[in-house]
Amino acid sequence: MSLFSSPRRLMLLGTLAVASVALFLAGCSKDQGNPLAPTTDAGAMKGGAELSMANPAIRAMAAVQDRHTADLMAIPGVVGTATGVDEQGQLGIMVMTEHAIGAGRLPAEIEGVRVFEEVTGKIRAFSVADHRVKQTPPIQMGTSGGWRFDLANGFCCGGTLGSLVLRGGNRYVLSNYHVLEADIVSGGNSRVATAGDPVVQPGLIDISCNAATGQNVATLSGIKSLPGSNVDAAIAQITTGMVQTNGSILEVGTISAATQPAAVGQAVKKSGRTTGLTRSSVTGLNANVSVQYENECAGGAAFVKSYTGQIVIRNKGSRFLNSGDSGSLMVQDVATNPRAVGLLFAGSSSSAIANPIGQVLSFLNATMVGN
Amino acid sequence: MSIEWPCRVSLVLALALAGCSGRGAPPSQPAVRVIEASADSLMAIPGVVGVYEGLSGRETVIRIMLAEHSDSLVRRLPKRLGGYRVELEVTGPIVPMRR
Repeated sequence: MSLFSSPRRLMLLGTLAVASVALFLAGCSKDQGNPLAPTTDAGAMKGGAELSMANPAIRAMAAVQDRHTADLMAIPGVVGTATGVDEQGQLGIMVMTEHAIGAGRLPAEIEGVRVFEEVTGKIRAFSVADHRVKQTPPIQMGTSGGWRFDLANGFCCGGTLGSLVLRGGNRYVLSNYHVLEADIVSGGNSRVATAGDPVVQPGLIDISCNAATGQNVATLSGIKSLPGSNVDAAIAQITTGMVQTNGSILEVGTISAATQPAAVGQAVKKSGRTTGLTRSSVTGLNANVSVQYENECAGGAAFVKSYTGQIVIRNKGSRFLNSGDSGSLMVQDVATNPRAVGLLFAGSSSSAIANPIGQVLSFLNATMVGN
Repeated sequence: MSIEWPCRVSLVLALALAGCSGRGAPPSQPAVRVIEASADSLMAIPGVVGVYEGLSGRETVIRIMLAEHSDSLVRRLPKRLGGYRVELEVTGPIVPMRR
């Protein structure tokens, strides 16, 4: 989950949340005077004061949080509070929300302490769906998978089987070219990805590179979108009985058959092999980006692809998208039957990149499987 | 030619403000067209990994994605493009997200 993907931040939040409750119960949060200076910059405080409950300013902030948690939790969509640090490094009261509820419904500050929203989704126990384990068929999408022979140069590779599309009356798993079809030299494994080759779930990376431990769920179509087209997409026809035909995605459920163009500020989510279900927002459109591709798993340089018209998504600390999530479908962040927005394929530790889903479906002459 | 001193002061202030604001001509075409026209030359600069249209508050800006920050690279990049303010963003290289 995104909230837990930054260990240092989690440690701080966890410490502060637990300690603030303990202090509140013990009555220690009283009689602090008013040590809350207007300056709540974490970087500025690091030089002179520790970001822990030993810091009087942090204790006072936590006390304010304690006094107002009940009121904040009464706001629909709020799932928690903490004393924490926002993406700009500013200290304040973090209000964790299931979906973005907007500044208008939250106070800008309480007792002089800044309030900021952190969209975390529902807070759940860690027994959520594991996106890397072998599923009992028929499987859901948003899971680990890849080309059955994606083993070369002493490494094995994989990504995410993201969603289902309908093409010519048949259902196909939709993922990325570079997840399913990118082995184009026989070099490290005496094979190239070929139409009819099996796609396994989980991917080799999650079964110790031993394909026999996985299960064949689809077969490659042989359609190679790169380097010629403007999308990094590949499809594999599902094997009867191995994949849920309604296109259900782990922790997302079924989606809409309709699609949605991206917009700046749009709330989105995805379900992927590495980071599971995560949420973020679109920060840019019409992106031109260059991406270097390999010619097989851990192989040599194949080509640099220059894309146009791509979607940029906030990915601070790789909390939204990380290695192994390629192939995930990005959808609207709504609870029921979200519409597909993009096909995630690349990024950095600050930005994720997605092909607009309209371009993907147009290239494949396909439609989303959904309601 | 004689200009009264209040007028001179106003003229000087106006010119100074115009110079300091960093504002150029307003955009005359959609940001997507500006990106289309300038992306090839920008992407040819070593260290530039992407360019896109974003929002800064309510203002449409053009963001240039950089593999890393360097003063020499920053000096080569425009501050405005087609009337849009340019923001620089150090993203690191954009790589496929296979594992």
